[in-house]
Amino acid sequence: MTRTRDFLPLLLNLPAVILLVAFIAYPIGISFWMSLHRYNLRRPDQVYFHGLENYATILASPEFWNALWISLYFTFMAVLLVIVIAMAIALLLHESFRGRGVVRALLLIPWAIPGVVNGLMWVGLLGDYGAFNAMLEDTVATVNYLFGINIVYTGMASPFVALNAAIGAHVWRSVPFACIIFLAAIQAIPTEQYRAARVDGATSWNRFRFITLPWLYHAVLVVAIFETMNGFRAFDLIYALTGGGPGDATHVIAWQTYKEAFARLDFGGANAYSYLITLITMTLAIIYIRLLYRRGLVQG
Amino acid sequence: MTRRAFLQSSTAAGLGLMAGCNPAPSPGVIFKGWVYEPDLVRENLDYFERQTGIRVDYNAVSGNYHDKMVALHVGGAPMECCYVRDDDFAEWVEAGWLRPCDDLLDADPETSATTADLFSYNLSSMTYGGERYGLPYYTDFNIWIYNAPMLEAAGFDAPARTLDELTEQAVKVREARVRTPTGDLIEYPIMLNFRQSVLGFLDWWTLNYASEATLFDDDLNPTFPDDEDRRAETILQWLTDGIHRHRIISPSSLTAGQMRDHVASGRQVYGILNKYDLEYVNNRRNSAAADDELKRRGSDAQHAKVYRMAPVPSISAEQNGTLGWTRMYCLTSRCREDRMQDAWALMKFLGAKDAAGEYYTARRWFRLRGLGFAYRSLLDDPDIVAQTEEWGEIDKVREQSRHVRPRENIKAPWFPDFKIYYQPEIQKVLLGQQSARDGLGKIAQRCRQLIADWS
Repeated sequence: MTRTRDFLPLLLNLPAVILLVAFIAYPIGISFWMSLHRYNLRRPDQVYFHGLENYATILASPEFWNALWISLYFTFMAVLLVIVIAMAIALLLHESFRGRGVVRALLLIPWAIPGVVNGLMWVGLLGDYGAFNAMLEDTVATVNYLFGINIVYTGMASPFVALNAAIGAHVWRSVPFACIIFLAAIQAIPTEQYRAARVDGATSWNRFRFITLPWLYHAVLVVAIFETMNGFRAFDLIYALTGGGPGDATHVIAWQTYKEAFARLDFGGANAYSYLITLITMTLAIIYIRLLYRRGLVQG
Repeated sequence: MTRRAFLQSSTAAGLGLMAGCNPAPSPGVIFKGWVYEPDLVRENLDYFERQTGIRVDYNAVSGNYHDKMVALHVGGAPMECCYVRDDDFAEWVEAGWLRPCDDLLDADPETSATTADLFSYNLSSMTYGGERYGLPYYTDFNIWIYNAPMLEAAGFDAPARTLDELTEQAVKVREARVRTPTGDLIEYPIMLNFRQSVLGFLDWWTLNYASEATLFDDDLNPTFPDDEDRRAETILQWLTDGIHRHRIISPSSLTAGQMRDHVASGRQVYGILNKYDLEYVNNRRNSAAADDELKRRGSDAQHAKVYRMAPVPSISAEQNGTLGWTRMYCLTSRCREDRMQDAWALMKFLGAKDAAGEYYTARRWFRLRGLGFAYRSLLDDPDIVAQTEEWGEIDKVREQSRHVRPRENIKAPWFPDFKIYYQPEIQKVLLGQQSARDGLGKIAQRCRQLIADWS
């Protein structure tokens, strides 16, 4: 009887365990195993184990390092902008004003747009006949006129514009989610603390700095980790918006992985790329957590 | 609902789902293609089914065709026949996903006889390792186009023939302050397609082949940057100068997709197009340029020959050539034996002749969408000649079709690796980030490395 009772919980958990193993553990394991093989679909008869060769090849290739630096820049800018903009909007939406509910609902729209659609929308805005493109072109023309200089505006054909436009489009889509997290965190701050601070004569900046911000560190950590992963995985947007160009200006690491897998059909190399991305994002997440924990800003 | 009823229905649903994972094989020929006019494809197949009584299970694969088909092939999805691009052809043969059709051709003299009617570049594109794999779906070559009224407005009655003449002419066109149908000034007379894309960068090959440049030797070793007269370098330098020095080539050439829409908007004086897009850009239904011209003439016609084709400008006037490509139907290696003859009948209907001995599908595609064909004899078909004359010039089409080449290294096993490397490098040259010689040198070096890796 006791034995049956001990066995029953295990049995009841078995379906969930089977699903987890089948859909999570097995793919992760097989993908790592494939990363240790020469496995190019163009030569299916030449699949063989070759240890860490794929990793060594990737680490020795200039394409990887270029993609890594671009991804780091992309991610750093994206995380920074998302945190700053989302926090500002969250603070604004925390205030009482007419139509706040509608604005909060509208805020979610960018988040609901799929990445590729977001990319195509920005292609429209930043393309030759796009509104943003026209604004930028006119701005450059005005600067040229005012300062008597001759900056040639080349739009998305400029590597600088293309990369930063991609970051802008990514941020636009990511802000709503971060904003919701910040808003939830702000609403959890006890109002007594603000009242006490007001009694003590604290300015609004000081109230933000010494009450709001410390209460938001946990949310900042969550957003930072989440956005770092998102930044490193940015692919669909790049695919639709820039196609990796001009030159290699927007060759982020996820784009490089896609090219390995589907342009070169090198599934061994592509899996190795994926593991390197995982390793990098995990390292960054650990750094974030360590930094904030060490400063005692986030409680366990 | 009781717990017992819930468990029973869940079990039934689970069993149903498992049964669905292993469906009964399709009774018809399983045929997959990318999404291009699926309704017209279905109409063709309906006609085939009526003619032969063979059922076709057609599926238009949406999204990125190459990537999805790779997944289907790797996953062993049942499939008799599919569309194949020449870009992917060698890769799919090497992977063992396609089945040669020489035995079927040998047993079918009527279809075999159509081989002699094929343009050589199409035949070559459907053959790998001495074996024939496909029958043509559609095919075409790139042409140089110019806006005749705009050129006239700038004082020219003929387009430039050489690259140097083109520079001179384009500068004058820009200085003549020619305007678009919406009244905007033409800032850059030339726009080309140098956007990075798996099927892109064809303009690079077109310009090289126009100057009769040979980029690879018979063993597929790169001959650039020290090819004959350094033609590849000269062309790349001309492009870079055109963007930065003379400002006659739009920098948007590096980012713009859908070239025919740019042309149709009337914002371009010169460019490179697929030949069949000439119908599109001269059709007032799609083209502001054509519509504007027809309104000016007070004509009710559907087409205006605003854009005309010309030999692609080359380094010297006596050179002539262009790039061609092939889209084909192939049998897959998983084609079921009991469906083989039906699948072959479908291939013949789509890629050669129907039961009545007509190039039915090729003619219909041309008639309805202007798509190019792989059979030489169709260039003399009275209907095709008459239709071409509505928006183009059949003599120029005939002449240009004699000088078409496929990409020299397209069948190298390392072509996909080459493709993802050379496009950014060429773009870096066009952006002024490296010299033409350095860029070409790097590409050549990578080619040699790929040859070594794949040998």
